[in-house]
Amino acid sequence: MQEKKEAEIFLKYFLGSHGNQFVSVYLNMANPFFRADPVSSFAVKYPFFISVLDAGTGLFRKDCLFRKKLHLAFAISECVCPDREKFLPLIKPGPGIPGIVFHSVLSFLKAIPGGILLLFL
Amino acid sequence: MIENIETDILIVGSGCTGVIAAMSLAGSGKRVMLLDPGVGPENAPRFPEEGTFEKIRLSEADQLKLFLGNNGSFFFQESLGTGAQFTSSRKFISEKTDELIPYRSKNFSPMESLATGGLGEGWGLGCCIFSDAEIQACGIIPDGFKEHYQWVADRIGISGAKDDAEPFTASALDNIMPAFPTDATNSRLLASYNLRKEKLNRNGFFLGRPSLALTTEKFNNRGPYTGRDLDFYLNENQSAWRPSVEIPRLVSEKNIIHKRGLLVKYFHESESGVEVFARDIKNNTAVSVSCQRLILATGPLGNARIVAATLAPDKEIDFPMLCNPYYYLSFLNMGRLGKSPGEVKTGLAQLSLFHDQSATEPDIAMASIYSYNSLMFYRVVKELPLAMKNSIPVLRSLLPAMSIAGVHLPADNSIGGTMKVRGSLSESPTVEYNYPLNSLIKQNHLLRIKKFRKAISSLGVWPLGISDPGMGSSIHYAGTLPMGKTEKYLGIDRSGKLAGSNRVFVADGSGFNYLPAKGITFTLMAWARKVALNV
Ligand SMILES: Cc1cc2nc3c(=O)[nH]c(=O)nc-3n(C[C@H](O)[C@H](O)[C@H](O)COP(=O)(O)OP(=O)(O)OC[C@H]3O[C@@H](n4cnc5c(N)ncnc54)[C@H](O)[C@@H]3O)c2cc1C
Repeated sequence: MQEKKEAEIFLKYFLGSHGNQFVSVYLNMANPFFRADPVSSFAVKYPFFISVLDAGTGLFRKDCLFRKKLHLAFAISECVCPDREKFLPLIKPGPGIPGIVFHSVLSFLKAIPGGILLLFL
Repeated sequence: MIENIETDILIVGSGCTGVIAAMSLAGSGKRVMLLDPGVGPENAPRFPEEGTFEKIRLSEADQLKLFLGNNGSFFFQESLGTGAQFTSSRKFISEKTDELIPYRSKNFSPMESLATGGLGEGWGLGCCIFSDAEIQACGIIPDGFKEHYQWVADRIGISGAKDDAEPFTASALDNIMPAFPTDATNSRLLASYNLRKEKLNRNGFFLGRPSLALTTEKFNNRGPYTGRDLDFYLNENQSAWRPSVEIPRLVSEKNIIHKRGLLVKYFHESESGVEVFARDIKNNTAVSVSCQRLILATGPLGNARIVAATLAPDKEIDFPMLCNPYYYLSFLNMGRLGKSPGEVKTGLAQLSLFHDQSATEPDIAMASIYSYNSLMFYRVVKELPLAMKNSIPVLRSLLPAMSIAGVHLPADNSIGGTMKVRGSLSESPTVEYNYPLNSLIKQNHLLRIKKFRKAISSLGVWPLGISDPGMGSSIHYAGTLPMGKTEKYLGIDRSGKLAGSNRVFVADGSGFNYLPAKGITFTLMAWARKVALNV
């Protein structure tokens, strides 16, 4: 049950409602990760915080299980998302230096509450 | 019950060396058999024959299977280090090794193959010629060896350029095809080098195009490389030379027998011939092959297993072992940030940077420089210190501006790498690798890597970081059966013959006493040719 919820929430984070179709794909693939971990449990309970946990673990806990699960959801969404161009620089070139700065700063700002949350998880 | 097969010459291993040995013996009038465990790409996803990487990414329906493999099996491979090039289509290369040739080690992770074609099914095609000093350090007599390089080049087809890298690569040979163009990012690096090369050359650095076993023109019945940026998924026009390009031709035109599915365990030599004992990997039945001459080409680690079980069953043997230290450096070309990668896209090495600090010694180091092409974002996203969701536009900007240098350093016996094998006639051998790097050696490696970083940075790119994928990741191994002027137990002589034997030869890198940093495979192939001629 927990795994299914995790799948729904992680895929929704990357794919929106389109993610629902791929829950079984995630469940098939995620076998090696089927262990409870406090960060994933928290994210399932409070999906609103998934974005700050994504940023926080990126900066402070790169190897945690939550990030591994999120990484799998990322890989699935890269394959199945309807707007695949956003993964193809030849078709949709990146936003350049201002865009890199914007997204990096945004991520660091999110990592602050994310990092504080991680202290308790 | 044992099935028995007979042949005149048995070649064990169908990798680059086994296949070159077979090509050299084709037409000799002898019955030649090429044997391997036969792991193959049968279950790999099939990529469409038409279209570029982008087109396939946009139009193919089953992306999950193509890029993550069945049930995501591919996702769980290492995403960086040696695994970076092992996409869903290439996963077969290392399949079944955990099960059939397990090992223990705390400090060494080799990559071996039980596939038809071996590691050559994924090799990066980089061809280098060793200097006389390097050839000698390996243990080979340099006289006449260059002819074997040319013989191999004329058969595998090599492209390259006449530039500053030429003295180190295979581009100085005859019949070299023009190099495939570089992409926008690497063209800038090369242009920048041409402006500043005096100082770099003074410090021993030389940059140029690599020579690759890649046809850029029509060559025999292979077509030219067109650069569809699918290098890690398929072999368009068979432009990349891989053993699997050659094996069907050897079978259909040259009467070579290719026997798949057998894992050789040991052999027994008598006055009348050699009997080789193997297991069928599907049904675990015993098979023996009787031959007049045996050529071992399973790679230095595979051969050590077979020799240990043959010469000293149930005893522990410490084989010496060489492996090139390997590091990655990554760089950002700021002027290319956020730009389109441009129409030229290739996952193959685009530039080679050589560091020749003494001009006479064999201690040259080499970096192969790549762009991050035809690989998915998910393979790098977890390395960034950002939220994965925010990383997508960032990677779209960064990747086309990135150059990645894979740096090989030379290896000799001073480190004391060993492979401890307890061979057995009935069971799988137990194997333990030990490749200890003390802090002084590590420091020396890093000093040299930092010289590379400085040299590449001087071309106007920003260094991002050094990563150490660990010992074993260079996928260049040698030296388990050292070559000597005279016969030495557990070694080979300079004709490739195993010590104490009259009929068993070793065609791969097992005998090399030194492992130059320049790609070893082209030299292994020239050596295999030399050995096959002595058989
Ligand atoms: C991703 C990648 C990139 C590379 N890039 C380069 C490069 O650019 N330049 C370069 O010089 N080198 C490169 N290499 C290294 C190169 O692939 C190897 O040096 C070369 O393929 C070794 O050939 P081999 O014939 O000695 O051994 P292998 O390729 O290991 O072949 C061994 C053969 O023996 C068979 N075998 C093994 N054990 C047994 C057994 N017990 N019984 C029967 N058969 C057995 C295997 O199935 C296989 O057919 C690269 C390798 C990889 C994986």
